Amino acid sequence: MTKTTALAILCAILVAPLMFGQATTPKDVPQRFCDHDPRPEIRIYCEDLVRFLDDANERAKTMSATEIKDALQNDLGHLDPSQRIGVVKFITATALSTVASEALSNILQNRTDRQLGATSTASGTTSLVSKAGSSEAISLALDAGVLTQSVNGTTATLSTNADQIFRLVTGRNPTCTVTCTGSWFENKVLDLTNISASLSLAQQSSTTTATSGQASGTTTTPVSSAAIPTGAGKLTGIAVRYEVLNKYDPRSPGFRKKWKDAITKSSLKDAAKAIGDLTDKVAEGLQASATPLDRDKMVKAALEDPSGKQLANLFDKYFSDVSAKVQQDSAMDSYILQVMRSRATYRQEWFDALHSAAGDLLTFDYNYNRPLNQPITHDFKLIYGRDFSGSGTLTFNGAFSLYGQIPTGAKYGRLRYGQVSAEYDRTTSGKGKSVQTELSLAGYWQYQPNPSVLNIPAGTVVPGTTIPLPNGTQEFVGTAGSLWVTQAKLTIKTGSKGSGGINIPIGVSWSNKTDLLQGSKVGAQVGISYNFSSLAGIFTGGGQ
Amino acid sequence: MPQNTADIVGKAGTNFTITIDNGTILSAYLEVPNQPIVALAISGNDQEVTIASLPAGDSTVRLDLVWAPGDSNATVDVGTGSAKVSNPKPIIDDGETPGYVELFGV
Repeated sequence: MTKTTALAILCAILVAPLMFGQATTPKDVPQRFCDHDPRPEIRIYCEDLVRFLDDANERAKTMSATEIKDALQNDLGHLDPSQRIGVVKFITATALSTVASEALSNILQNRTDRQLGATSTASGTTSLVSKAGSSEAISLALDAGVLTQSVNGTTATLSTNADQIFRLVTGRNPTCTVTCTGSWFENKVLDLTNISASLSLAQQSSTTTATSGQASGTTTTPVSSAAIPTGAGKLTGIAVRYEVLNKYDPRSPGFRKKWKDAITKSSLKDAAKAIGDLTDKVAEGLQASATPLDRDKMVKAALEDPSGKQLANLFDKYFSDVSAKVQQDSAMDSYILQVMRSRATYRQEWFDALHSAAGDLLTFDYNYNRPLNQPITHDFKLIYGRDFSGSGTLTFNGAFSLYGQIPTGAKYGRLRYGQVSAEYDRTTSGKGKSVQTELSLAGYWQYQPNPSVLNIPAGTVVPGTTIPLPNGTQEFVGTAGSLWVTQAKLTIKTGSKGSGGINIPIGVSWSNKTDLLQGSKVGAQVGISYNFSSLAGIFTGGGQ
Repeated sequence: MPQNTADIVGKAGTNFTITIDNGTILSAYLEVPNQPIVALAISGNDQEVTIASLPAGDSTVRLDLVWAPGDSNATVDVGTGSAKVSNPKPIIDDGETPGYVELFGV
C-alpha cells in the first residue's frame, strides 16, 4: 500500500457519508425541513419544530387556531425558554453561538485505557503498549524519548474521532452529549473510528536533489546530487483505529442489567444533579428576563406555511432576541458556561458507564509508518483491554509490521517484525479528585527475522572516500532476533472533577537493544497530552 | 404558568405518581416557587416518582436522567392517582437532562 492509497482510504472514510448520504440514511426517516438549516439554533430545535408543525397541521383539520394553541402547550413549551421545559435546548443553542461553548472542551481524564500519544515505534514516545481506547473528540500529545528506536526524538500526535469531524463539517448536532443518533455509517463506522497523525519535531529530514554543477573547489569527481535539509516537522505516521465493544443489544435484559449496574457504580447521579442544579439557575433567570414565546404567531406560521420555513424564520427571530438579551447578562452567561462544563463531565461519565456495561475493549489499529531514513512500513495491531474496575486495567497487544516496498534484489522479506506486549495500569492516588496519578508497568517482546534496514540516500559520500552513491542504497543495521523492552511509568493526570484534561507521563525503560544499535539501553520518556471533549467547542471559539 | 399550559393538572393535595417510559431517573425534585426543593421518591424500575401532595398553583418536577444507548424519547404519564396529564402527553427528548414536568394544583 502506498502513501497515496493510505491517504485515499482516510479520505474515503470521512467523505463516504457525504457522497452517499442518501444511501446511508435509513429509508423510513424522511428528510426534515430543518435538518440542514444553516442556523445552528434551528438544527438544535429541529425535532421540536417538526413535532409542533406536524401536530398543528394535523389538528387543523378539526380545530381552530386557538384550540390548536391550547392543545399543543407542551410542544410550544419546548420552544419557549421562559418555561422550564424549554430551557435545556436553549442552553445548548446559546452555548453553540456564544463564548460559552468554550466549556465544551472540558473533559475528564480518569480513564486508564486511552491511547493519546504516539505508539512504541515512534522516535518520540512514552507508550510501550497501545491502549484500546481513544479520544472521544480530539487530543494533542507531545512525547519525547524512545523505547524500541535508536534515534531519540520528539513526536507530536494529533488524534481525533471521525464522527466528531463529520458532525463538525456537516453541522449535524455538533454539541450532542449522549445517545447521538446518526446514520448507520455514523453509528457503526465513524463513531468507532479514530484517526491520528504523528509528526517528528526534533529530527531534521532531508531530500535528495540533482546538482547543476560545481560552484567552487578542485575535485574531479562530479557530484550529481546532494541531500538538502527539509526541516523538522516531518509526518512520520498516520494511524487509523477501529474500536469494537463487546456486542450488545440495548434492548436485551442482560445489557440493561449491566447498564443499571454501571450507572449505580458510576458518578452519573452526581453529574446529572450538577447539571440539574445549574439548569435551574438558568431557568430562574430566563423566567425573569425572557420574553415568552408568542404562541399565536407560532400557530399562524405553522398553518400558513406547512413547509416549516415561516415557522423556522419566526422562531429564529425570537430565539435571537432572547439569546442576545441573555448574552448581555454576565451572570446568565456564566451559568450557561457552567452547565456546558457539567455536561462535559456527565458525557465522560456516560461513556465510562457504557464501556463498563459493554465489557472489554478490542481495537484494530493500522499505522502507516514513515520512520526517518528507514523504509515505509504498514503496522497492523490488535489491542485487547480488560478493566478490573478498581483493580486496574490490563492491555495486550499483538502486532506485525510489513515493509511497504521491497527493492529488487533485497535480502529481506516483506515481514519486518512481529511483537506481543502487555501493560498493567492502575490509578494509585487521587481517585475522584482533580489530580490523579497512575502507575503503569509494561513488557514488550519483538522478533524480527532480519536486521533493521537503513536507507542511505542518493548523494551520500562513502565514508573515507569522496565517492558519492548516485542511487542510494540500503544497509542492514543492528541484529535480527528478539528485542525486549520493559517500562515503568507514572502519569500525572488532571481534570477528574475540574476543568482541563492534561496527562503528563514520565517513564523509565530498559531494553536489550534498539532497532539499529546493539547493546542494552536505559532510557527516559516524558510527554504531555491534552484531550479536548468537542471539536465543535474548538471551532466555535471556545477551544482551550 | 397558567393551568392550561401545565403538563399535569390535579386537585391540590392529591397523591399521584408520574411515569416515563424511557430513560432512567437518577434523582427527582419537586420545585415550588419560594419554597425549598423537595427530593422525590423514585420507584417502578427507576421510571416513576411519587408526588405525595400536589401543591396548589404552579410547581415543577425536575427529573435528573440518564439515557441508555438505544433509548428513544420518553412520554410522561400519570401512573397512579387522579391527576390528569395533558393531551398530547408531554415528551422528554432522549439524551436530555434534566427533564421538567410542569404541574398545576387546582
